[in-house]
Amino acid sequence: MKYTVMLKEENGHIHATVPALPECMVKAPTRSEAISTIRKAISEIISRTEIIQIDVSAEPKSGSLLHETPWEWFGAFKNDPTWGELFDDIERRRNADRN
Amino acid sequence: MYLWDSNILRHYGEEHPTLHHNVQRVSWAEIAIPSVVVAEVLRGRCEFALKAPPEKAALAHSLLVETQKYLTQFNQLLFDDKCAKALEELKRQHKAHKKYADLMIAAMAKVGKHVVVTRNQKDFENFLPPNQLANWIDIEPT
Repeated sequence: MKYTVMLKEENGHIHATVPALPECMVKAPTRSEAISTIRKAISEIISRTEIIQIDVSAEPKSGSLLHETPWEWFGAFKNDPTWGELFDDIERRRNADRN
Repeated sequence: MYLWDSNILRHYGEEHPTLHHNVQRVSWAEIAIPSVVVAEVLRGRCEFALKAPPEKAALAHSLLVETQKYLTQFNQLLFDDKCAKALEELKRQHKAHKKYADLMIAAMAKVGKHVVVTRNQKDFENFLPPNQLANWIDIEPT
């Protein structure tokens, strides 16, 4: 498996962290050493970890809704000639897909 | 919630002034796109990306990714089992040929008591009462 590793230089050392494994972090004097050490640390954690997926029946609360109007996307396609064609095609298909 | 039909989603991307006024008067959390519309939009973009001639392929793929990002700005309402049951009922009640996507959106609105926002109100008049229909493109907010 591939894991995303973040390398950050701090006080002459390289700090390596793994966003998917918050407990996994190492510090090393060089980049290559940090990568080598974090690889071992990930292996050590994974070797004693079981990964499962579970279903949760609860509905998300309304707090999970997007609240901020994305005005930066308002008019985002106004100069795209394919935008209108895309929606004209959707209309055409709806008319054709009569059940 | 206000469920946007595809024609409203189109005009948000085109900077329509009346839509701007209508969006301003509600919270973004009250607005959602039915998964039916998400499917229609992505189908169009995916087909363009997969069938584009070489000179248009890069543009087509770029537009696919950009449109995906655009869609993630919206709350998306899932067509679920309750909607499927409502759809069966609508199909039984309206045996005359109807646009299938319209029926699906109407079923979602019935289940959640949502308001369908569309320019094509006539397409939904047989399925939904007037208070569950709105046109944010041709009608300014009061």
